[in-house]
Order: sequence, then C-alpha cells, then structure tokens
Amino acid sequence: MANLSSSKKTENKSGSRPGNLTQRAFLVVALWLGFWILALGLVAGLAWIPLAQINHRSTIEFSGIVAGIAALTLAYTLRPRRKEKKSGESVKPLSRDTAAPLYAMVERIGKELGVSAPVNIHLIGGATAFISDNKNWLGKIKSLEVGLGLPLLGTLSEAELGSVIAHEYGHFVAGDLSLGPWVYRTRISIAHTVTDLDDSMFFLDILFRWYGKWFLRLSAAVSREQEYAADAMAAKKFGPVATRSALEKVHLISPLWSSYLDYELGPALNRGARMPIFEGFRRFCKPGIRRAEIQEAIHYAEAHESSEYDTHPSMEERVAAVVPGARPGMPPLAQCLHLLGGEQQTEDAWYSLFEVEQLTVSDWDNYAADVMQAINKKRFEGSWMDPKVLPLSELKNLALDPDSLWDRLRPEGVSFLSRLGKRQYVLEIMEAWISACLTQYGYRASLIPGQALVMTRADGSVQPATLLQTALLGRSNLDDLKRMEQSPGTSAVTA
Amino acid sequence: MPISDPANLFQRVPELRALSDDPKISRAIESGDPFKVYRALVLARIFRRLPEHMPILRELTRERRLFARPLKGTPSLGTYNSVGFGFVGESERDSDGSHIALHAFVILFAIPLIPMGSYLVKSTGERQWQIYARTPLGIMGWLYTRGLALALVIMVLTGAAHSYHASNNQDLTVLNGFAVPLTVRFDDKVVQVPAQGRSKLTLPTGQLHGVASADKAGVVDKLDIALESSGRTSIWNVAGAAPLVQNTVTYYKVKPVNPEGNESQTVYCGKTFLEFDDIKFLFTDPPPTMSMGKHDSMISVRQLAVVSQPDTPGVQSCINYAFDHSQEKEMLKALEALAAFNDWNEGYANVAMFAATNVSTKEALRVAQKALKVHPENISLERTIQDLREDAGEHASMLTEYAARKDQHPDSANEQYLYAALLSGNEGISVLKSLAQRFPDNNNILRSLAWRRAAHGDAAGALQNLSRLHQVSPSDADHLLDLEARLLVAQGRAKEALKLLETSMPELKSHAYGSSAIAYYLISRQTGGDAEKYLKTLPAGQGTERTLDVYRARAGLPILIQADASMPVIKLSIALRNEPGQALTLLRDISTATLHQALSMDQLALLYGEAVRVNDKVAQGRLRGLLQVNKNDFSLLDQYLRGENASIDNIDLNLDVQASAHLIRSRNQHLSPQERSSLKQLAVKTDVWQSNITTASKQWQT
Repeated sequence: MANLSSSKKTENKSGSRPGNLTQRAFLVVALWLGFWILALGLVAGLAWIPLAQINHRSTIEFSGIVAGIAALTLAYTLRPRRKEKKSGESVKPLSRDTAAPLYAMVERIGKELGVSAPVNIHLIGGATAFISDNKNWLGKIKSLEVGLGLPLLGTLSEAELGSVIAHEYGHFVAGDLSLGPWVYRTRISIAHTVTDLDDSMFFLDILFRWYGKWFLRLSAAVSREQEYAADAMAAKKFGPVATRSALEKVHLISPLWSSYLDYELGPALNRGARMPIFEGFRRFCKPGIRRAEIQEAIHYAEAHESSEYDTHPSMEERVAAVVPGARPGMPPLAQCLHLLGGEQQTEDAWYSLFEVEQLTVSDWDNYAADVMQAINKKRFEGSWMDPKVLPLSELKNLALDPDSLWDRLRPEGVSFLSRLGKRQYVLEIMEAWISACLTQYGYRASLIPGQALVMTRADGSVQPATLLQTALLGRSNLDDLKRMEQSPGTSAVTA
Repeated sequence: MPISDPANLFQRVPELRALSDDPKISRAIESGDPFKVYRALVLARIFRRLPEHMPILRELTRERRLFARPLKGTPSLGTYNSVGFGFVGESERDSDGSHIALHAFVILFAIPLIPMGSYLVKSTGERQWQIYARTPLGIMGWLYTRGLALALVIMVLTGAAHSYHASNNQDLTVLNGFAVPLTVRFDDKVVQVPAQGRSKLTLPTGQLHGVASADKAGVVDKLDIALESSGRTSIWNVAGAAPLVQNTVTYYKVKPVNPEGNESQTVYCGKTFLEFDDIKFLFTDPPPTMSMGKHDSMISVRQLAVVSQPDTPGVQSCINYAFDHSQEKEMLKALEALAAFNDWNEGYANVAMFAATNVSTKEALRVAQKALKVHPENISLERTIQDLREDAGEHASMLTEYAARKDQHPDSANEQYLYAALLSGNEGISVLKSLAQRFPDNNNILRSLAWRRAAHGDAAGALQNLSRLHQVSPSDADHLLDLEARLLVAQGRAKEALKLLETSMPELKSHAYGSSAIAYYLISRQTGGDAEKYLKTLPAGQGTERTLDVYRARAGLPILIQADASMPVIKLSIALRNEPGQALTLLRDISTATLHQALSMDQLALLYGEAVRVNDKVAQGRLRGLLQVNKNDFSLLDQYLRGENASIDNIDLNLDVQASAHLIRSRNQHLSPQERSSLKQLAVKTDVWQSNITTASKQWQT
C-alpha cells in the first residue's frame, strides 16, 4: 500500500537514491535474500559446531551443546507461520450507483495514465489514500483497489483529489506495488524473529535487530524515492499547484483528523451513536480550549521528527520537489463531496460499509445529553458511588485522599499502574461520578468536539473536570456543592 | 518535545513524563520496550544522573510490574529429580496476592542456577502459578544473565574456532623406537623426536609427505598419507620401531573367576601409520579402579602404550617380537635404519637382509647393495648379492659381467674368486683349484674350494685347503669348523676332530657354541668318553637351561626340564626322529627365525625333503631360504627327492642336505628295493656324525 501521508522533515540523502525499477527490485530482493542467508547461515553455522565436534573429535563439548540449542532456537523462530486472517479485513467497496462520478473520475485518470484494469473504490477513515492490486495465479491484474480517506473528500478540491489519485496510480505504473510484498514479507520475518529472540540467552536478537534497522533504512530510502516519482506523475497530470496544495492540506488536517477520530468520533461510535462526521470535524477544528489529552495528541502528531526510517519524504521536501523553491503554505480548504452526491450521501456511504449493530442517529448538540449522560448514569447505578447514596457534597471528603479509593475502585485482575496511574484511574472515575451526580441533580450535558464536557442547569453551568480539580486542590465550597444537589430555586438545608 | 510511546507507558506510569526529558530515558520509552525503560531508570538512580527526580526514580524502580510486557508464551516449568525449571522467590507482593517471581533453571527445586526471567505471578497451589506478564529482572539478575549469555556466546565462538581448527587439522603423534633422536619434517613443520620418545604434531588435513631422518642414517622412514580430521588417535610409528601396544583393560563390579577373555593386547611392531578409535588412556596408565553405571557389571577401556623394557631399546623389543611371530618383513625399515645407525656392520646388515628376503629378492638385493655401498671391499656381501641375483634369475648376465670384471682385473684374486663362485659342480672346483695355485693365500678361494671339495666327496683335498686357510685366515677357518670336524671324522680322525672342537669351544658364542657342543656329543658317542661334556650345563652367557634343552633335543638327548617338553621346537626335534608327518605339522606353529636359530641343518634338510615328498608347498616355501642351496638347484634337488630320474652329483650341496636327500629319496615306493636300500646306506655313510639322519633312517617307517 502506498500511503500519501507525509512527515514534516526527512533528510533526503541523494547518495542512497536507487534508480529505476530494476535496481530497486534488485535491492529489495537482495535484502530479502540477505535476511534468509543471514538467518539460515547462522542456523547452519551453529549446527555445524556440534556436528564438527562429533565428526572430527568424536565427542561433543559443552560449547557444541550450547550451539546446538541456539541453532534449534533460531530455527524455531524462523518457522513458517500461518497468516492470521483478521475478521473484517476486507471492507466492501463503494457501489458504483452511489459513487458514479467518483468511479468515473478515478477510471478516467487511470485510463489517461494507461491503466485499464477495473477499479474498486474504498472509503477509509484516515487522512490517506492507497492503491493495491489483485492478481490471478498467473500474475495478471484482476482489479485495482483504490482507497480514499473521508477527510480528503471533505477538504480537497476535485483537482487536488485527482492529484492524489494520480499519485497512487503513479505507484502502480512505476511497479512499486510488486515490490511491496517483498518488503512486507521481509519486515514480518525480521519482526517475528526479533520478537521470538527478544532477550535471547545467546544475544541472537542483536544481529537481527541490526539487520532490521539496516533493512528499514534502505527500504525506506527506496520508498521515499517512490513517493517523489509518484508526486511527479501527479504534478504532470494535474499540475504542480493542485499537487502542492493537496500535499499541504493533507499534512495540515492529518493530525487534527486523527485526534478527532480517536477522541471524539470513535468513542461516540463505540457508545452506539451515529454522528454527523464532517459537522463534528468542523466543530473540532474551530478555535477553543481543547481538552489536554487532545491538545497533546495533536501536538505530538504535528511535532513528529522525521527519521531515516520514514517511508515518505518530509512535506517540505515534497513541496520543493513539486514546485522548486516553494515552501509549504496553508491553502484554503475546499471539498469534493459532490462526487458521492453530497455530504450526507458520503457519510451514508461510509456508515454503510460497516456491519455494526444498530447505531442510534444523534447530533453533536444532543450527543452528550442523550448518549453520554445515559451511559454514565447507568455506570454508577446500584454501586456505592450511586449518586442516590453518595451525594456530590462527599466530593470534598473523597478528594482529601483519592489514592485511598484505589482499593475500592480497582479493576478486576492484577494492576500494572503506578501510584500516579492509579490516581488518574481513580480521578477518571470520580469525574464520571461527578457527571452522574450532576445528571441526578438535573444538569444537562453538552459537548463541543475537542473541548471539555459542560453540565448546565437553569442556575448555571459547571464543568465536572473543573469541579474535580477544585476539590483536589481543597478549594471546594461545601455550600456550592450542596446547592448543586438541590433543584434550582430551592434553598440549601444547613446543619 | 513530545515523544512516541509505543508501549503506552505514560498511561500506566504517568510519572515518566517528568523523566522523559532525559535522553536515555526518552530513547528507552520510544523503543517501546518497558524493560529498557526500567533499566534506564535503574541506571539513572544508581549513577544519580537525575538528582532532582531521585524520589520518583526510587519509587518507580521499586515496582517492576509497572514495566511488564505481555507473555510470549508459557515459560517452561517442571523438574526431574528436583532439577529443572521453576519459579523461585517472591517480591513486590500486591494486596491481591500477585507478586514477582524469578523463573530459573533450579536445583533442589528452589536454588536458582540460571535465571531465565521474571514474571508477575499469583500462587495457586503447591508449585502452581497463575502467570500474568513478564517483568524485568532486577539489575543484578539482568547483569548476571547477560554476563552468562556473554560467556555462552564467547564459549560458542571459541567452540566454533576450535571446531574449525579441528576440522582442518589433525594431531599426529610421532613415535621413535630408536636409541637416537629423529628429526621429523612435514613441509615447513619440523619436530625433534627424542630417542625412545614421542612428539605430537598438529598438521593440516590433506595429502601430506613426512620424512623422518637421523644424523647418521639419513632418511629413516617416509610417510605419504591423506590425513583426515577425525576423533581418532593418529600415530606415526617411525619405521614401525616402537613397540606400540593397544591394551583392552576391563574393570568389573565383581571380578569373575576367569577374566582373561575380556582383556587383550595387540602389538603393532612394524606398523608405521595407525589410527585408533576410542582410546581412553593415551600413553597414560589406566587407574586401578573406575566408576561405572549402576546397571553395568563391567566396563572395558582401551589404552595405547609403548612397551619399555630395561636396557633394551624399543626397536630391539619390536625386532624380537617380530622374529618370534614370523613378522620379520614388517621390521625391514627398522632393521635397515638400525644397520645404518651401526655403519652396516655385518651382523645388523645380515639381519636386515634376512628380513628383506622375506619381502622379496628384489628388496633383499636393494638392502645388500646399500650395505655394499658402505663396505665395498666386503666380499661376503658381494657373494650375498651374487646369491640374490642368482635367485632373481640373473645367472647368465652375472657370468658375463663378472667375467668382464675378472678380465679387467687379472691380478685381483677377489675378482677371480667372484667369477669362479658363479660356477658350480666340477667346473667350479676346477677353476678354483687353478686359482688356488695362482693365489695360494686368498682366504675366499681357499674357503670356497674346501667347501666344494667336501661337498663332492674330496675330504682329503678339502682338509688340505682348510689347513692352509688356518694359516692364512684363522677366522675364516673357524667359520668352517663344523665342516672340518665332519671331514676329519670321515677320514677316520675322530679324535682330531674332538680336539679341534675342544680347542675352539671357549671362543664360540651362542648358536655356534651349541652346534659344536652337539657335534662333540655325536663324535664322542662313536669314540667313547664323556659325550655330554658340553651338554650338561651351559657356561655363563651361552644361554639358559631352556636353551640347553633345545640343544639336547636336537642331539637326541633327553631334556633336563620336563616343562620344556611343551616347547614347539623341542617337540619338533623329538617328533622328527620318529614321525616326520607330525614334525611337519608342528613346523606350522614355529616362526622361520626360530627354525633358523633352533634347528640344525640335518633337521632342516630332513623337514624340507619330507615336505617335498608329501608335496607340502607351505613348508617347502618356508624352509627353502634356510637350506643354503642355490635357487636354481632346487628344481633338480626336488626331482631327486621325489624319486624322479635325476642326479644331484653335479650341484653343490651341503653334506647334511645330501645325506637327507638320499634318505628321503629312499622312501619312494616306486623305486626298486635295491636302489632304496643303497640310497639309505649312502645317506648313513654321508651322515658321518650319525645324527638325526641316521636316526631317521632307522626309525622312520618306510
């Protein structure tokens, strides 16, 4: 699979650039062969020691026994492994009825690039695209599978999307797809071997770690060259402006989209809610104070340091390759959802790809109140933290020593959490308990994607997270807490 | 700067965020290996690299479970006889009962020998555990296992280097059985092998050429081998001279009554290159006891040793062994070397030539020519060469060659003699007579003429020549002492014969002494007197009582020690007087060298004649070399023995051979009774001492 996502900065060592397909193929196959020569040679070498001792000295020494065990261990790690088939690995392609303009566009681009194989288009969740081929046993192409990420349709113009598709076709035309399996197989073999030999009594893993790193360096260099070539083909077909802006947009939205997917859309789906995808993302991208974990995730994704193991060049390098001398900018967002009939139809098409249990249609205005509050309420029902038996005013006491709650709240099974880990676990439950309490007292929850949960009642709004932090700092006002326990307009009963 | 956290450690251990500014710790976190993170923290704590975070470091490194990794599989568990794999120890116990235990190769169930790893476990019964995750070893345990691993790697690498070296090289032990040091060279490798000692060489495998040499003798032995690497013990016994033996030593739990069946010794005298399997004790003595399995009742081990006898060089021990076991030819190289060490003196040269004769005439000729090269003036050696060439069928060419030499050196008595020596019968006598007139003082001519005259019945003439020989060369005359005594008896001068023998006795050694003692007995028996004078006891240095019994049996006297009756040569001597068939049977078990030393010419001649008569080819082959008869003359002799129409008058035969030939021929049934009777009388007449031939004529069944 050729991935469009790019990293920020990657060293472009022209000295390691392999040239044409033949050279690249030779290098990849040589690396694959190198792994097996190294591994089997090592097995043979180790096994030779005891055999030589028996043959030449009629006795087997302790070193021979150790070498024999090492040879058997290594041979075991190299055993053929059955490929695990992941359930749901194959996602249904978009039907031609629902995505006729998109199919037409993809096939047109293919034809113009001399590719006539039938195409299946897949909608995928990430800000990425791919192309892969299906071959019959004679090696003839049966069909091409083209994957396009939802955010691409929601942020790129038609020309920019065409550039992305041409980039993927570029990988196919250049023969990169035929090298992919070799790289993949070798990586898997090295990974299995290193994992099995991890902390080996004989340091055998060290050799394979070295080889693995070397292999990754070389194969990544090959991969980066393939990306440049694919970019060049895209620019030739759709012009450097469209190609450049496609690269810039993908680079821009990728960290935001992945955080949105991980922290908002994904959890909502897990809670059984069918949410408006693009609307949620638009709200997620709006300025505002984001939750700390989300801000950190975005920051991490944006701050990714490129390395020699990256399969893609940095965005700066790619832009400079497409438009010599240019530096990355921030082009205005666009969309090409009309290729699937519009925003709603695109989201329908994406949801229809999953065979999940019935999702309840919701929207971002009501999701927190309708879905999150209901689930949270259920979570504490009947427990010692049920808001009916443990009122919010107890927060002050609980916050005095939250660590002491661990033994009462700990999950089943053994724990691998540190003191702070346990504390965070406890605090997450306490925050959820505060929400449940506030729900009990008539507060309604609301959530702007990416921001903190807000609970609102006629007499005001409160953030459970803020309430918890205040309590932990010992600044909670018991009267305030008791007032929250009351319905709006009633006076607190004082002792 | 945010860092990647593939193992989700920040979620489990948020405290790490505060430490992630440290490059070593952040690298460990980014590697995704919690064990590495643990070790980075421990090292930071030990080396106080982050003093401001010491409390956190202490807290985190106290809990190894925080850095747990998922299980790869179930660790091996199970012991046999309290040795095997198991969990030992208990640390960092949690309120739920889970704790860290060390997985190790253990002895006595609980003593860890090789730590394999740490695990988070919960005990579920007696030596039963619920295993949750792998945890890092404590730093000491980690260092111990890594140290152990390093040691194993070094050991394997060393083992590989040794195996590689072993597969391309082979140890060769060089044995020197001689009393002088040897220099052994294999291409550029040279080693000095001490006298009676050994040296070990490590040689590359493949085709090798080795040369063993000594200062005086030059090249003693060569070895061309395709040396292979193996676990066998490779030995080069130079010239086969060292008495190398392989002993099988058996140890018993309960020693049986007759344990000999399992003990054995194999002697490798004369064998040069040898390879042995399963040698437990190489040139070392096996211990008096040895431990064995509880189900074993005995155990046999092999030992290689070089036999050493006080005051006897190893090569001599080997020569003695080889001559006792008819393996003379195996010792040819050693004998040649020994002769070379001793300047090819006559004794050593003769033994070497004897061994070479057992190999082939060609070999004997080669050895004789080597000896002659050192002693070109030695006429005896020249004569030996002539005999060997005669055997090789070169009579005609020799006649031409020596005639030319004789003509080239008309004044050389020896050259004239060497030519005449090639002539047989009356022609030879005639030429020698004329030479004796030209060269009256030449010992070789006189000796040869005396012997030939005796062989052809001219006793008086022979005695004249002997008389002259006594004046010219007493030592040559002494060599014909036996013949002279015989001629004197034939001339009716028995008393002179006895006197001659008595005079010579003090000078004689060993077998010559024995032969003269027997002659004295046989002659005295006819004249009266103390016939057994020299056969009652042997003077010091002349042999043992056993040797005396051998002489006595040869002479027909009763033996002195009853146990000696079982000696093969004594049994043969006794049988030969009555049962020639039995004597031939006994002959099979006696070595040629022993026959040569222990039997007299009349006995050998009788045995040969009977072997021809009954067509025993093996016995004939063994005896031919001992009869002092030209190879070309055997054809005629055999015909005569078989009773065919043939005459031995014109060939030069020893008197004993003549007498026994007449007797054997007389045993042929198809001859007329008159002829047989006359042959028998002739045999008795020729046997002037009335020895075994006369006895046989009376006691053998016709």
